[in-house]
Amino acid sequence: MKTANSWIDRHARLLFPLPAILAIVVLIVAPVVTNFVLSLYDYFVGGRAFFVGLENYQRAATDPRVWNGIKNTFYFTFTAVPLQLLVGIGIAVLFNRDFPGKGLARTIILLPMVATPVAIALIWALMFNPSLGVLNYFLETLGLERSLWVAQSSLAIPSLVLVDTWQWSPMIALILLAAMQGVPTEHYEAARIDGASGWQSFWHITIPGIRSAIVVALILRAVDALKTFDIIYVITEGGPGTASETLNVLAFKTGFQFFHAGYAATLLIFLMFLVLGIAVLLNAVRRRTT
Amino acid sequence: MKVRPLRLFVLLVLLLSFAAASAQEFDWRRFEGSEIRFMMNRHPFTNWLEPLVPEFEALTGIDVNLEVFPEDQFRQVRLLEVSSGADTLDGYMIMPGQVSAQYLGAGWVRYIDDLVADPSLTMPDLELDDFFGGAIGTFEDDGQLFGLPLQIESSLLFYRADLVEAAGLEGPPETMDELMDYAAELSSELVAGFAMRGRGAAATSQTVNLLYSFGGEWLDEDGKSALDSPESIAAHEFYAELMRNYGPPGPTNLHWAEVTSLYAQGQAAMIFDANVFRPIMEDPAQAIDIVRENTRYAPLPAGPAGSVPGVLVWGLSINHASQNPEASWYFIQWALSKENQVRLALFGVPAARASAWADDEFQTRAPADWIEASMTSFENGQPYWNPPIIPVAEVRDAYGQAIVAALEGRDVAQALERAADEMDRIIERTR
Amino acid sequence: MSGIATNAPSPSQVAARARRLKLVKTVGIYLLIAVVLVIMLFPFYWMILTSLRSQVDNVSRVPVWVFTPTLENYQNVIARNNFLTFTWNSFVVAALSTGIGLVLGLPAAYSIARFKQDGLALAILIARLTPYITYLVPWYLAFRALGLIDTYLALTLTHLIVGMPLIVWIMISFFEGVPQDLEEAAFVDGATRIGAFMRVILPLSTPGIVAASILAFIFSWNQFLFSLVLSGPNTRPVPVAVFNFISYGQIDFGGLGAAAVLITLPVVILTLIIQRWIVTGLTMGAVKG
Repeated sequence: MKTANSWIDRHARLLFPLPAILAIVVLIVAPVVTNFVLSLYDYFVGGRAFFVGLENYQRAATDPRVWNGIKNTFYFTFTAVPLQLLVGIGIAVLFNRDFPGKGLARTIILLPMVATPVAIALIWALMFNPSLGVLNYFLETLGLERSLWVAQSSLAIPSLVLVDTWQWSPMIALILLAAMQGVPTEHYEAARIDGASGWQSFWHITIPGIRSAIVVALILRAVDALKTFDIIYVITEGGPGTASETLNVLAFKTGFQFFHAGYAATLLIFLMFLVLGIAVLLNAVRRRTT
Repeated sequence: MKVRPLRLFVLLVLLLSFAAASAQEFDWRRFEGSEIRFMMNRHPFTNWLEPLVPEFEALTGIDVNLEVFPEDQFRQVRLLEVSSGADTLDGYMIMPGQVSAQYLGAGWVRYIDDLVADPSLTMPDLELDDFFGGAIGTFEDDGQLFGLPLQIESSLLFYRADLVEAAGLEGPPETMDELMDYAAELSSELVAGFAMRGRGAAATSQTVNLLYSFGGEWLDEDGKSALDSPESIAAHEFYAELMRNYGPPGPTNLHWAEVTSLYAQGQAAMIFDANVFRPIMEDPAQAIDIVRENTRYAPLPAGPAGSVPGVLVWGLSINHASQNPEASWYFIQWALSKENQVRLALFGVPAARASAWADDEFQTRAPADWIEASMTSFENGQPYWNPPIIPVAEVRDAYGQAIVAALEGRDVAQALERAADEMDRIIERTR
Repeated sequence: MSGIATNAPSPSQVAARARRLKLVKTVGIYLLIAVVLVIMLFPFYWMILTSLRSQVDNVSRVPVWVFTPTLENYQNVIARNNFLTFTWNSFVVAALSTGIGLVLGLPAAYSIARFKQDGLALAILIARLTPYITYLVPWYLAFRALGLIDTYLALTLTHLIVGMPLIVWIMISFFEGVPQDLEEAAFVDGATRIGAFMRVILPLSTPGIVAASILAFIFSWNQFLFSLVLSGPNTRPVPVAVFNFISYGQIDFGGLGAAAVLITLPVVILTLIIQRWIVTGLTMGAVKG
């Protein structure tokens, strides 16, 4: 018994994480490897698989729908994330003071990001409805023109960006709020004595003080935005047509509606490299800025 | 008279087998204690059936689980489960015009001829002849039956008589040109002149009515896509003009729910969708008064090739892997019995049995114009409203892209060419 | 810094103006805060309103704000649509995956914290960053071949991928905070490493474990993609069941609202308990709450 224990102690650094490592190998590494194998086959689920070499890759590279998916993925991510950053900074600045009900307010802005995305998406879908939805009623009340929201190709992604921004700006705000608390108050005092305006001290003290938090928030959001699935699938299913079909949604349809497992695996490999590539890139930027 | 031994022998065998059969009479409680699971589309038939299931359970002692999904998802989930070979699924709703190529090819249905032939398993008054030929015909595969139809459905024009009259028009539009004129006359700031589905793939089951009526087809003689034929282009240009000028805002968002809701709320003067949605227009919880009082029905207006609506037949089949085919067969017979088909018809769903349509109470309860328009459509209809190839979902998706492009005002011919190319590629890959 | 003005206003005037300015600014800021909160809450408010209205009111062109609330939608959802079964399914999967996630994740997090296994930490982070859908096609094929579609096992295993990385990353920083002396004291008393981990480290980390567990639970509860493909009639969790609610031919808006309220409620309650930890969890420990 004793020898067994000391054996465990000696190998603790391997044994403690072993179960987790096994789980990761089985549940994550194995599927990724399988995808590479699958991508070499033409496999219609329920039918036979044919080895086709790199044909799926060739097809993907020339498939306008794949390029459309990549374009939409970037369009969604690179409108949503900067917008959320701006709104997030705004909320953080607003909340970075004492006011009655501050605790409650902070709890309220947590709700969009923890609420079940499917439920949230369904409610937004109801609100977007061009004829019966409440958002158009608001527009009309404000004297503005009714909008088609997700029913119009050119507005589908902007509408989804709106939902994503509603959902995730608070997270950026809370990250930055935590960072703002770390900026020494003496710096602000000193600036005030020097006669700096609020705007100047925000620009020259707050922003540099929370720069690394901003970068972290950007990385997290960008990576998550690239693979957004729930709200897009539930609200538009990628439509109208393919106007809001991201690579993620296209891969899902290919795999589970059209049942082309091989081609879906190919698209998933694209998507995986895209997301991880951008994560690495942003991380390099982070290293340089800090 | 000389008695021939052979004949006598045959007679004896027949008599004996008859005796044996009557000894094994049809008994509703024979499979008491079984449990069956059916997968259903969220269809008015299902809404009707759900509350009645306890009746069947009390009659037979068979436990029934109905799994209900909205249509798009229903197809997906059913395919996942049937193709997995799981034996936990006993039966499902099926529309042969949609998937028979795939399901028969893969052997996913259980043929029922042996069950029908066994008098101990089949109720005496099943009467297969009572089903409309066009309905039960879609369940025949080379002389073998793989299910029974539950309803025959076709799309109709729903229109508001009060608005038509107020506009100084008379009766329903009878041709496509008239439809366009009526839509123009009837549309106003708050009311769309006309609405039908426009949501990509989901719209294809309706636009195919226009395709046929303008003389178009899914495939040409060489088995290639005919979506880019001149007839098809004319049909979709008409559709785009109609919807873009006189349709509700955001036509690409319209699924049947949106189309029927708009109409039920008085926001559309005419719609074209399945005749099974009549009950919505009669339900005070869903339709406003003025709609309930003034809705009339007419067949699809005639195009250059006449009025050729697609006819949809839904039915019930038994899963190939089912462990309880007999109990499942009991459920199907009961659900589609003469008596229940009358009840279904009274509920507002177009039943698949002729006797249900002839029922006196049904004749007095259903509006005469709805019955007449439906019957006309069944006569003129085309049962293949989906492309007759296996990857239906993919083709509908490609075609749906063209519909969206047309509704958004892009070049119709170009969009259809692209869809046809894609469809050809899909056909190519399937071989 | 500033030059001396020759005809400056009197000090009292300056003070009054400053006071007025400050008041305007304060009111403005409160107004803005109120606007932010109203926007954040509106969809929830609309969800609740929808759940309490009848169908005709819900599809009216002009929103009906005043109405007699009805609980019929809730009755429908719970009685007719097996909502309790779906809730139970969600609960089972979330609880199992969180439990297993703790068993696997806690020792791993401890090891990473103690032995500075940054590579392993990174590997687990990558698992979190990779799009979940990447794993789904192979999983689906494998579970199908093994006959495991529509089992709690399949759902629990896949939800593990959502919960375990979260638990590991939150707990790393927690374990790093436990003074090494305490552990060493235990070793001196003859404790094995497992013993020290179980009896010294874990009890000291209880708050972190609670927070991590609740977060993992919430994430599993909210998971949609895996359940959409891998669940079935016996295991269908609430998000997929709610998605099924868009029953065409008759969109039951009220039922949809009621279902949305019911599914969101447990999450909101759990959030209130561990609100301090939400951001930590969402950022994989990159930001301390």
